[in-house]
Amino acid sequence: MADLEFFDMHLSIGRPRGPQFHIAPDIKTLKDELVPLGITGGLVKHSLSLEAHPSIGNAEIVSALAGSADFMPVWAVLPHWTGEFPAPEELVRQMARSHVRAVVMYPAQHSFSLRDSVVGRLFDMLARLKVVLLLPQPQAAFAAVEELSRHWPSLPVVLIDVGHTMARELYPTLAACPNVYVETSTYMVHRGIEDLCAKFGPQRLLFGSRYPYYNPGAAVAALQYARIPDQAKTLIASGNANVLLGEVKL
Amino acid sequence: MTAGYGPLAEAMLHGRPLTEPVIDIHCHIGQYYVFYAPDQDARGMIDVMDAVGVKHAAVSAHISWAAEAALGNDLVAAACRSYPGRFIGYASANPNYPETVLDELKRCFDELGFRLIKLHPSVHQYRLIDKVYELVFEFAEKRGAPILTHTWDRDLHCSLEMAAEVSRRHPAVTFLWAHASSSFDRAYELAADLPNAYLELCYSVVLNGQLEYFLKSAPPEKVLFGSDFSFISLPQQLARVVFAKVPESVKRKILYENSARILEAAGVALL
Repeated sequence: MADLEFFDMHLSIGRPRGPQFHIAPDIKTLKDELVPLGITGGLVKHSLSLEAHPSIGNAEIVSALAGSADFMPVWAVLPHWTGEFPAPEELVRQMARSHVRAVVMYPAQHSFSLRDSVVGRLFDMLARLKVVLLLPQPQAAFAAVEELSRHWPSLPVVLIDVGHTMARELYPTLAACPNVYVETSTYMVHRGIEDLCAKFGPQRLLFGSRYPYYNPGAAVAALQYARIPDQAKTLIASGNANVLLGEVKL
Repeated sequence: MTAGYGPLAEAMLHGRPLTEPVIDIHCHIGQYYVFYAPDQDARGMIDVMDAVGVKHAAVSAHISWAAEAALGNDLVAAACRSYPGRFIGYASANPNYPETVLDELKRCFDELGFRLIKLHPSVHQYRLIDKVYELVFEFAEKRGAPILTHTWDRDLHCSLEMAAEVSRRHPAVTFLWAHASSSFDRAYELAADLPNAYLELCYSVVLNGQLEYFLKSAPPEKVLFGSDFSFISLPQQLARVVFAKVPESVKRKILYENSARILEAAGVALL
């Protein structure tokens, strides 16, 4: 079996608004629990970015991750039209200063859509710089994902929170959209990783655990037991993430 | 690299089969209309069971949730014949065709060699507390057959309260409450004084810390490992127990000993 190091695309810290069985209030807790499992780096969101306001949570995550180079901040982003969030040009300047290479959008919970007039200018900028966009399912319908990925083919779109019942929508989306990727934490279908690899290649999968809310051991085990070549496991565990994040022009 | 989880976790972190025996008490075989998963046949399931070290899988067939339960039971019987000792069959029947229920259960037990019964009141839209299931419970009592019933918190057809009601009504029947983790606090509150009721764990996601939380109130003797495999990833579901921060002796009870005791009492030979 491959002796893997994992880069986790789906991590959070900060106290959540609602009850959870387990939380990671800070980066120390996260590292103490993940590094022994071989998860030595990752993209980290702050609970306040989703549950309070992106401008609050985004500042918190940058501050919390100072000095943790392997765990990188993710910013939640909003359309700028209301004036509550920086215009795209200013946003990417701020991202560069804070070493932010990936963003997440919560269109359903943050009450906007992905139509061109709402997010077009933002996506133009993110696509030009190849910033990694994390998009939770079912926050955006697969039809919207397909449309945006066709319109901005250089924008890497990583679907997170993909449920185990979604294959019949997910597969055609992957076939139609080469810039769409799947993060693995919630796609826990029987032999789902193997099937995705066989049909679309391991390059389209990125390891994630959804820690602290989901058990990171389950995510590691699901990949370790997948009947795919060790080289494919290495790509999914961290190789694909390194490529995508390495291509960000910030 | 165990992070204090113990030797079972060490094996899973490296993709090796567990060396302790495991019984998965809640499995399904065959394709399913609601969503796609690959390799849901017996061979595809055995491959994964071998990889992770699950010795026995108690299975029912997806087809049994439709009208033709017998087709599903035959599929299960074929898997049991193909892999003796690895699959343990659940007999299923559809309560919406009440005239078929007892005949099908008798066929499963007398001709196919089944010793367990699986009910899915939710997909059959027939309440667990209603009269056709009484026939099943009487049959189960006569044959000493444990019953795995789908439950879900506040489900209209098989709520946890309904599971408690039938478990209380039939103290000589062993009831395994599937998906008790949908609301384990309430499940345990309802099952605590029912010695014939057991709480099965499978749930499509593995919430971090959930089992540890459950076990602060429920004794591990009441808890059974089940996965819903081959809908769901077996390694992922197994990790729920293996990576729980509880003693290895507790994991052994949940993964094997409790189910083994139930199956052996029902006359299932664990080869």
